[in-house]
Amino acid sequence: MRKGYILFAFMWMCLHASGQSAPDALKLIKEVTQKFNKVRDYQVDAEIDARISFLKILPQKAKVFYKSPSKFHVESKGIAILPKQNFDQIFSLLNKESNFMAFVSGSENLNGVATSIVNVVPLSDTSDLVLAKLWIDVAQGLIVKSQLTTKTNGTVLIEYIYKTWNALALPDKTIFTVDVKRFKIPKAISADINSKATQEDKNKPQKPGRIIISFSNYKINKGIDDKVFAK
Amino acid sequence: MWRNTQTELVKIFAKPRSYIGFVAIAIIVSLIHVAMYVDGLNYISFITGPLESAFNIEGNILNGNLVCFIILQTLIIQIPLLVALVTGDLISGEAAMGTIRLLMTRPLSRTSVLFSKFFAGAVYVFILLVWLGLVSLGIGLMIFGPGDLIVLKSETITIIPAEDTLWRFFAGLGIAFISLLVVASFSLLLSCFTDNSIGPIISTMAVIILFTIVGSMDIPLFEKIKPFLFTTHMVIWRNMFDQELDCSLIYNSIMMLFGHIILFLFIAWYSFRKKDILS
Repeated sequence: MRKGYILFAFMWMCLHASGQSAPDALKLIKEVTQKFNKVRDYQVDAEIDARISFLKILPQKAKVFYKSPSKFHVESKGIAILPKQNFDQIFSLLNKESNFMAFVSGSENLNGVATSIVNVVPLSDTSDLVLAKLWIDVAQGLIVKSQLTTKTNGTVLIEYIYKTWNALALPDKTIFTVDVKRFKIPKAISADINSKATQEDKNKPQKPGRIIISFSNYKINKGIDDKVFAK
Repeated sequence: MWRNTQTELVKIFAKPRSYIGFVAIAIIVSLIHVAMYVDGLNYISFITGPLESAFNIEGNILNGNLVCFIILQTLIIQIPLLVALVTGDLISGEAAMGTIRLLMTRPLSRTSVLFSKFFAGAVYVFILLVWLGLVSLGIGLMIFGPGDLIVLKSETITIIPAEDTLWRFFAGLGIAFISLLVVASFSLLLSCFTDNSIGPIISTMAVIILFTIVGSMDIPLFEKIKPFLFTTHMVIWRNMFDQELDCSLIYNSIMMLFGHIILFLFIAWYSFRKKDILS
């Protein structure tokens, strides 16, 4: 009899939880996408600072162009290292409710900001994205952190910092954290005969790579020629 | 001394073999330029592959600076041979032709003769490097345009902004000049001991190959020898392409190279002064 009560209570909790979380997740996502959907296009100056253990590069200036729904282009004078994921990739997925399944998996306080953790699973078999975990600022309706698990590039953690364009969900800074493998090529190819990796270096665990992109001077909804994206 | 150096320069440029270096550089550089123009992106993707598996690379990767760097990296191993072809012949060539006795009858000290030959060899090396810089960087920039330079080391990749590359190439070529002076002085030293040109030229190359092999093997025994091999310091020109220059390392290597030049010249001078010229 007692076991029956417990089973009934558990089933009731599950039904209650699923009935509550699904609409909540969609509502949160809708709030976020509604903001970003106000943006038809934007052009922004970016400073790309790649901090990867085996890569030595100075911060690079670039221009980022976006046009709804999914045109994206980065223009830099020199060589810039960018994450594989486009900055708007997650919005492209979230724009159609039929594209994904979402549920709230918990809540977390991120630096004093109350967030709900929403897990998004794409429904398409061909999608490179396997799972997206979004930390959504409930009060402001903004994604403040996301963890994207992809088929081809492993897991990428993205943090978003907003200041000026909260209303349009456009960040002032985005920090990508990517797992990187140790870089090693034969000395004969690099012609680097004097290099010598110590055993200590070899045993050091590889730190994840970080790419910090600071945005400034947003030009929003001013219209961008399609030719820019054809380059 | 300068007048005598001029005479030695005329002798160098009167020999057809002195032009082999210029022709070889022109052919090799042209071949690399053509290959890079046709299929350079494929070649570069081999270099950037490990990076591109995790990141996107934006910008003009295949540019004149990168092509020049690849050429320098490839040629710097072969150029000592081109230098030794000329400098290994400076004394022994005269002995082989029987003109050394005639040369010694002139009112010039042996010291003056030896150093005139060395300075003439140095001028030849300088002109050869200017030629290399001109065809590799100058023509490279004309064909491929400027751009940031990707420098590949065995465990790191350095990307240098385009505007920061030119002085590094000049400094790199400057260090390459000092390195090749070591080769010139070494082959001149060997040249003092023989009466034929082939010996010093082949011996110089054999020593360079041997030292390079020893230097590139990570064996504890060789680690102790490496700092004393001039080939270890000859590749220090690559360190001019580090983002933050290790000035003390570069300075020490340059001093080691100068030390070798002085040592080889001293031994050459000592033996040449005592040399019994019979031919």
